[in-house]
Amino acid sequence: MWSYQKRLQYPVNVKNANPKLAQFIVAQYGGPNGELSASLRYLSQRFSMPNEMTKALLTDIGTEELAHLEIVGSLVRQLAKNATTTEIENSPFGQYFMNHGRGVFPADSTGMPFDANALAVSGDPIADLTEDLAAEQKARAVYDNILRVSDDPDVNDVIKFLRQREIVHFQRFGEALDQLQNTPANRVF
Amino acid sequence: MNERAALLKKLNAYAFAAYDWNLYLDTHPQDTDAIAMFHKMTNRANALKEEFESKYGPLTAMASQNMERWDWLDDPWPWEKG
Repeated sequence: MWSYQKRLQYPVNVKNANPKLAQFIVAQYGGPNGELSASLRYLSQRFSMPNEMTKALLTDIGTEELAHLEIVGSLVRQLAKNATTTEIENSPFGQYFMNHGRGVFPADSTGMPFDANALAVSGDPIADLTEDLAAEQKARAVYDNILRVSDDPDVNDVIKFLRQREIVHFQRFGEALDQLQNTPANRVF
Repeated sequence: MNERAALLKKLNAYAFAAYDWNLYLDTHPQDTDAIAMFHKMTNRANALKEEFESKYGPLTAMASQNMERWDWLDDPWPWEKG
């Protein structure tokens, strides 16, 4: 089960409202390679994992992704909270604003609501861990894209932290896959 | 940076370090050096957590100590600017 700690894993203090950036960053809240997708993927895959290492790793990384979801939500909120309606209507965020105001809703950057088709649970540990490696790289790539379009240092500081975590997760999943594949009992091909 | 933010930053740093050792240990469970580092970090983090909570209120609902009012509700909540 989960308990909640009243602190962000990494602090978010955005000085300047920027609804355009909010619209891009919401991709990592409700988009296919975002933190909700990651947490659901890992927290669901863990049920069919064959050994203690994989059960622990997927639980722990899945939990961390929920903490990242909270960070991304905080970024979106702080970027939108003090934006004027003029700024909002002249940005891509204007469309999101119609249904969600300055709130935080799980959608991708085009406004498509979160779709669980973005994640897979095959029940096969090798397939699932391989998917996880790809997921971490895709998330890292999206953070690269955000850094390409953002020149806000408060935002970029947080994005760089989140990006670095994807790289560390990739490393851990690689170790898990490697160990799983080298266990004779798990050799199915 | 105010005192509360500075203390929280220290707690976050040690708690994060402990958590990163946690992940490493998930795939390297026999690494006793890593286990030692994990405990070094959690000891610091737990001390800082106690200090923070005594000054600024509970970080988890279960840690609430105030008998006069339910202080778990208190602002600031983490997504608000500190």
